[in-house]
Amino acid sequence: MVFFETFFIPFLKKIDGKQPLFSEQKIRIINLFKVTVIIKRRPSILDPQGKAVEKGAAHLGLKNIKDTRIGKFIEFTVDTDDQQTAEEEVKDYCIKLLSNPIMEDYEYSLEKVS
Amino acid sequence: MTAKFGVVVFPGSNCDHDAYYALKKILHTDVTFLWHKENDLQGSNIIILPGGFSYGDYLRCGAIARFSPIMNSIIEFANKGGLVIGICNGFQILLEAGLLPGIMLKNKSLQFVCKDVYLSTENRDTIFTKDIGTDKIIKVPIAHGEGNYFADEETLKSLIDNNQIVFKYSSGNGEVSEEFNPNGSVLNIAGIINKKGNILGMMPHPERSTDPVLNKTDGSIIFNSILNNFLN
Repeated sequence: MVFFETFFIPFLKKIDGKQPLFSEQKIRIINLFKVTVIIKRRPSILDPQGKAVEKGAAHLGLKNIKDTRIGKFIEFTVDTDDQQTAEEEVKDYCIKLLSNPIMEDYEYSLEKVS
Repeated sequence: MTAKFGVVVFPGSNCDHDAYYALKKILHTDVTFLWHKENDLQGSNIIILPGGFSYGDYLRCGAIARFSPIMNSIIEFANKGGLVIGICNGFQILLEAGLLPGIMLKNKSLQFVCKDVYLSTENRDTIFTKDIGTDKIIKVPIAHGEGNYFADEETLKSLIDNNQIVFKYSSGNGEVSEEFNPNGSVLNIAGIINKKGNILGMMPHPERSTDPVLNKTDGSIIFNSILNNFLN
């Protein structure tokens, strides 16, 4: 017990007016948006990766697989309460970094999480 | 004004030291490394974006490096007419930054290709290519997995009309055909320049063919061309 008081209590209680090293976290209602983005290569752009993978399908004996195209699936959260702000940031992220508008299209969906 | 090269170092660059070595030890020019988190070009008047795998090639080659702090200074420098060469991954960064038109796809073969290739110089009227001989052929190595240059027809027409295609993959005799295309690049394009003629992007590595010990030195012609024509 002495050991507990000496070593653990100081972490939990204010001592001499100082903040404890660990305190109960402030409870707040967290509103954020969970976002999923799909990046697809434009139909006019060749997808050699898709073609190569499709060859694997043929080797597997799958005879009816066609038009394999490989894209990207990205998910993240946006820490804001405001849907408009969230959408603006998501679009910026998609246009300027996640996709290359010259060869790729993007689509996204937002889901509010509380 | 004397020439001073600045070689940018991104996390994942791996030809930065090749470029530095070629310029310092072989061509005996003034050269400095520029860390990607800096803004200061340290008085460099020729910028080299070297080859490698900046940011692990995550997302798309060059996509993340394009937002490194030093790129703002380089874009400003380039827009004022400063000389910039992007080699391999550096070329991909220039495309992502919008300093050159087009995109880079995976090699048609899906394989990483590492070998010496011949280039036919299609435009000898640039500061980078003035010293290339009248036979127009140079031999330099390539080493990339995504060097399959692509642009839409309108962009290609503009590149042709403005004489912006600088290098094409060719045979040793200068024959440009699919047979000598190592990666599927449209029109066998290996290097292009911007309209103003101060930003060159090329997939082949001139810095890797400068040292006579390696028995290939054609890459030196490009750097010497810059040095010889820098003040003009």
